[in-house]
Amino acid sequence: MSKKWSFLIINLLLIVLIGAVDKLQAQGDFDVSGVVTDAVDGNPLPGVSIQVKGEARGTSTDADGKFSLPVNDSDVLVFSYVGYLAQEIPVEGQQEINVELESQYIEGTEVVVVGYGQQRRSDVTGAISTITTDDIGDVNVTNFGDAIQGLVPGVRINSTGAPGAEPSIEIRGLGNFTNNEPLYVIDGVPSRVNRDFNINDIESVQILKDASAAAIYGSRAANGVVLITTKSGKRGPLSVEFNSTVGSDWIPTFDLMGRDEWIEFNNRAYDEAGVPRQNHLEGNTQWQEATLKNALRQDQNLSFSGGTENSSYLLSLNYQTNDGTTIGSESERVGVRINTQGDKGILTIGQNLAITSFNVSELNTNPIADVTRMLPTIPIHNENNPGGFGYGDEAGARTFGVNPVAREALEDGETENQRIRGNLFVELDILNNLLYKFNYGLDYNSHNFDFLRKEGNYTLNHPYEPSRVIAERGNAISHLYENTLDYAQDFSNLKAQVLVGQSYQTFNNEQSSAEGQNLARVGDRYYSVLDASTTNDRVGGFIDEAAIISYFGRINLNLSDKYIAEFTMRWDGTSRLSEDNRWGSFPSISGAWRISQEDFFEVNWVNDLKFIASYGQLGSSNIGYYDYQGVLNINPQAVFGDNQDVRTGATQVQLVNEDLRWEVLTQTNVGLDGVFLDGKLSSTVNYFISTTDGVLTELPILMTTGNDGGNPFVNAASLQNSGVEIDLTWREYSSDNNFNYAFGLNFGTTRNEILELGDGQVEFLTFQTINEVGQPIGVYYLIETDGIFQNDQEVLDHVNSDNEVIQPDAQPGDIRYIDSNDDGQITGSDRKVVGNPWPDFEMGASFSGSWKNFDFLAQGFGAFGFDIYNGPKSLMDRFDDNSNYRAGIEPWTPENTDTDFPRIIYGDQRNSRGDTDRWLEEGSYFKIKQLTVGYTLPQHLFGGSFKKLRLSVTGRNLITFTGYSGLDPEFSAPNIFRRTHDDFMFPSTRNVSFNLQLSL
Amino acid sequence: MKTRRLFTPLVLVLLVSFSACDDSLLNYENPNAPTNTAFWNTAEDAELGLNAVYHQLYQPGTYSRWIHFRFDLSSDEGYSGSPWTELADWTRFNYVNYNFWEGNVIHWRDHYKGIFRANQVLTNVPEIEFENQTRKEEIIGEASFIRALYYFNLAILFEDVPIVLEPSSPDDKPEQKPLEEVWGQIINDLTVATNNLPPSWSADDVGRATKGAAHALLGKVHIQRHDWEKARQAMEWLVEGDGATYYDLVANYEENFRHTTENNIESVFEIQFSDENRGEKGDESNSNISNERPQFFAPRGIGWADGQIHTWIIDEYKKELTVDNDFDTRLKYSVFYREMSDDFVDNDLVYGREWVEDDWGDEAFIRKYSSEYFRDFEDYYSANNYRVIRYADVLLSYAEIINELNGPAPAVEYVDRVRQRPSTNLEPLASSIYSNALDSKEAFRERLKMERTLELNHEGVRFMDLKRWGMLNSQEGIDELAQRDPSFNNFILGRHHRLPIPQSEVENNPGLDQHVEY
Repeated sequence: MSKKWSFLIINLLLIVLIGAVDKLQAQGDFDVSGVVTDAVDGNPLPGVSIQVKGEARGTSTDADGKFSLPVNDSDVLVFSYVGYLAQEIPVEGQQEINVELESQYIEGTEVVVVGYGQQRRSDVTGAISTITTDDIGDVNVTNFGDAIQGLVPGVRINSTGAPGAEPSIEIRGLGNFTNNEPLYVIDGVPSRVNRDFNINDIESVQILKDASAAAIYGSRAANGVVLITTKSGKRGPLSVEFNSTVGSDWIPTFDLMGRDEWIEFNNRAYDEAGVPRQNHLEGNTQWQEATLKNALRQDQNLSFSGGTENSSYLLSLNYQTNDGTTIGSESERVGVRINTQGDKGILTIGQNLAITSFNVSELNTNPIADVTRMLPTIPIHNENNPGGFGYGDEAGARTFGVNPVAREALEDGETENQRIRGNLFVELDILNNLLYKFNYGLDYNSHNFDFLRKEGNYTLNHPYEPSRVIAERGNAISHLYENTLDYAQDFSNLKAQVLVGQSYQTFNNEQSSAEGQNLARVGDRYYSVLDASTTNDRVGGFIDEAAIISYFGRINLNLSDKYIAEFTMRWDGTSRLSEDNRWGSFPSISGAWRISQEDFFEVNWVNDLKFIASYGQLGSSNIGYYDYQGVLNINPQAVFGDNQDVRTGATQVQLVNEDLRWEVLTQTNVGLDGVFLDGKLSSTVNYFISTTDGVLTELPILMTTGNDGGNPFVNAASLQNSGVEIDLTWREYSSDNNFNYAFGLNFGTTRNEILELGDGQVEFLTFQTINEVGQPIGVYYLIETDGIFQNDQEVLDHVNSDNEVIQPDAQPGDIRYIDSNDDGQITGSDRKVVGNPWPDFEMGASFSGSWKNFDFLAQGFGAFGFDIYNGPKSLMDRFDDNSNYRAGIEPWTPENTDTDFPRIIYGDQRNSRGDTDRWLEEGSYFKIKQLTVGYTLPQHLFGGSFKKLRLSVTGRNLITFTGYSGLDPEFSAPNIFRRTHDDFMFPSTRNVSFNLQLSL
Repeated sequence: MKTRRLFTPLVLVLLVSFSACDDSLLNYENPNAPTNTAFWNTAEDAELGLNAVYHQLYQPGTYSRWIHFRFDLSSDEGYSGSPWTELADWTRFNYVNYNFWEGNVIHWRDHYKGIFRANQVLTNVPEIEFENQTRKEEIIGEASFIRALYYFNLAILFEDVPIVLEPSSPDDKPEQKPLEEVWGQIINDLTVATNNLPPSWSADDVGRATKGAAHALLGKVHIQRHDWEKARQAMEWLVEGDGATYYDLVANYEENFRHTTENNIESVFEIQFSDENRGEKGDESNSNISNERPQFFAPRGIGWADGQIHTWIIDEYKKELTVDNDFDTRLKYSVFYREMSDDFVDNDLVYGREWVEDDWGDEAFIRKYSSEYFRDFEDYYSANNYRVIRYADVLLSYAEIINELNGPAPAVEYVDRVRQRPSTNLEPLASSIYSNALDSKEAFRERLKMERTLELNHEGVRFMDLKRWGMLNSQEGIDELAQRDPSFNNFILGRHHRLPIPQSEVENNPGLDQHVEY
């Protein structure tokens, strides 16, 4: 499979190269010359690039802004310069062309994609962050989250190193308890940007953060909106781009004890408990070495594009493989994208289509957890065990840890996704100012999951499991139909734009699965199809369907380019809510004042200054397909009769709330956009406060209700998020264009608070965390520890107010717990709020620049002032159960009293409680996410055959500054209520990669 | 201009067609399962609903797994040497975390889950029209019995618990009730059950709750409350009344623990396990409905050995020989132990293996319900029914009642019936080495304690027996128990006679307080 595709790509590349060399240099008929100046101050601009459009020929201006170039009569010259708007000028016989370039920051003419349209940056009244292909083009990453991490304040991305897993993205905190994924709209079609999306295809990304910007997406926008526009062909002859990345990934490891040291500590823990020592096994295994590996990763992308006056096309091919940083995981992706467009008269028709095939060998274990639980004395292989693998032993190595090598060998799960997503649109430019657009969108995904379990054991006391196979087949398809009318009219000073539209989207998700046991087998070969199973066949399947209908409108008024106002309204109806509650209306209003345009405003170092303010409501129906409908579970069975016949039953298992309604987020945003010092400094500052009411929550309900199968959704809680976001960019260009650089800094805070939990409830517990009114979601709720008892007297002195000894069983070396409720004993009731998973602030910084033909990029990201619960440490340091141990620990002994590590005792919970602050650590960190150095080969080396040839090397996540003692302070949370619980989470991958960019 | 003429009508058509989107496009009924509103209309619905009530008896928190850790391993008969420290700690009165799923939470959850199912039947079925009125009464009787059984276990384990009698809503916060009110509710349900249930079922329906089961459980409620007269009235039906013809002891003791002799004449109420499904426990389509206990109690290397039997029981068996001068065969069928091959003929192998001296040593393992009599391994899918109440328990309970009311003389015959089961074959108590048990009510009560262990060890009765006999609320009792089971050294008087209520439940329900002692 993989070879076939590599051949295809290599062949295509060869053909293209031959074609390019063959073309050689086309010579011009005559020379054109001229001067390029700054439109504002008239100064000559050195280093401006002048390119013949669609060809490799070009030059740049000298120190006096002058240029000269051989051209043909039909050529079009493109003048471009960083920080200025590019201009295209047809030669048409001219021998002298003088050009004035306008700084893009001063006029604000940069175009921003907004929902159902485009706006000039200066007209935008909401909080929108833009990421362009320049920002992510040179970033050697494979998924969207990693590509934009650290670039936008208020957007939190938690990357994960788990093979095949996707980073989580949150915009402006947590507005609810269930799903905080933003809405992704790709070329106008709501979809998901997951692991099968090719980020090479991205032209630009807009992140709509506040209510006014997102309001046009109404009920789907409460978590923010990410608008992605994919690349399209540019006017000119065929342009070919090849982008190749090859690199190596790895993840950090624990520093664990070797066999001998481990045995010494294990014996000590048994001796301390007065239990006979284990009769240690003979193995000497470094489980991390056996499980983790360096992964080879490659991403090859080849695109062809071009266009004429009336049409454009782009074909992009992508091939990606990843060996996986652990055994038992690898992935391969093949993708094709075809974007085309053509127009005639008032009609424009176009399509964007991406087809992707993604295969992944799924990880069946969590190696991070397994390596901490397997003992170094256990051999990897043991021929006496069924299946031939080593694992725990009652007398010699008592652990129920899973041998990850065994499990990955005995279990094999593969997922194959085929995805088609795209859209087809028709535009009619009816009266020059009235544009009608029909957009059909498709998002189709089929997945095959195949799982094989071979016979054999991978853990102590593993009950016999027969061989079995599971085959799961699923299809998800979504159709979108949208009509919009966009009307624009200028009345002297007033520009007005009105948009109305209607949208209808359906969702259908079907799955069937089958399982069979006791497979036909010859030697080591299992026949892993269903027909080869001999017993216990089982089938399952479901259908989920939903639809959403929407009507929306937007009015944008611009008076003299100074005062801008925008009104947006969206009505949404969803099938996921009952008939009485399914329609919701979501309005917003916003305005901007460009104070720098006022006559009285005369500050010459301020080029542009704009105040923005918005207020609006967004909705969410982030629930399952039929959550308001109580259904029967038809699976409960009963057995009766002499023959023990199985009879079916039916009952309600899961409770529902039939009156579920929309959850509504109300947000206010105020901000300031500014450009200063001739465009060198640009800044955006925003403050937002949002309240979500009627949060759809799977609020834990009482077990006395008899509910099972998940807590039912209820519109219960009310949450508030507020924050400040600051984005600063400094750009500097040297006069000879030899040394340019830009420095970016962004800073964001998010304050989260539970205002209400509904139903008079004031708190609910979620494992080691609590959710209380007045506090953020999921603060740590644990028993406080207070050092170690050094002697018997200290044990006796540890009393409550009634003089009762609180820990009468404690001995010197044991942990002193704080009896916070003063009842004379240590129980779960002594827990209190002791830590916060929410950072005080987060910060991203980037430095990019170029010197002659070299370019470099450094990008960092950090979060400061929060706590992490160190799960691996809480397992490896507990000693009441056997596990691997961390190297370098110094537990308390009568001889070693100056330590914070208590006495180690096997089979005893005195020093092993999980619900204490012993495992809580300060999590602040700053990471150098990326370091890149690139070199663009001078064009003259190839005689102009190539437009561009750039080589670069990138290191990612190589340097982390943190006090956290776990593998990585940054990881994807196990769930919303445990945001920073390091529950054996995958650290983000480290990597070094090499990249080649070639343009013809 | 030409093109505009062509496209303007097209725009209109598109606009009209799509603005015609109406609400009906948003009506999707769940295609995967019938909705509640369409249920509870027919007699067939009532049967399905009732089956689901029985189904909850197969769950880990009810009878398939963890409850044996409470009723058997927390008593002086058993213990856990599990390497899972917290699991073992919960059988030796060391409760650190009051939200321990396998310790207290799952019992609470699974029992209230069953109560919710019974409540659905008991609320909806009276409204359903039946052709067969008797069947309707029976269904109500069966659901009432099982609801009573769920509350009975909660009363033994937690004592003061909320009483829920109607189908639940998500925001319900039921109030905690004192133990005596809980007993009252159980008595109400069992009164309905004794009236509505038939004494026996046809071959196809064997395993359903019977009138005898309801009488027996009602008797157990009353003896737990020391209401001896009411207890006598309840159990009399099985021992001396009309019900006596339906019950007897089986000739061979081991038949009480084998899948080949289920639902026999000694059986009063059994959990009807099946090995049909092989999925995880729960409410999925292939969820197993089997007995997982054997996998948890089988000796190390065969099962988890998470529950073991104290060897003092072996010594106690060996104190009295049968009429034929042999060891009591109840020992043979209750315990795997090192000398088992010497003490009995045909008793050499444990699941086909020799005694594993260097691992098992002088420890002993629970044999009741093990699969060793027909195969050499265990798994999670034992089909062997668990006997919740068997007739020997009824007879010994009845002896206890009569002794409390009228002294030993009229009580001893019921003990002797058990002692003289053909396979047990002991002397009548009066002519045995324990004849002085007949000297007084107190002496008889003391002897009965041991008679019950020898007959019923590891059958889920010991913990409530200890409670009833007051041994868990006197230091003297605790000290005696600690002689046999050192884990009672951890037992704190006034605390460990009942479990802490799941902490999350206490914190999320203003009407429910944690027991003061916790």
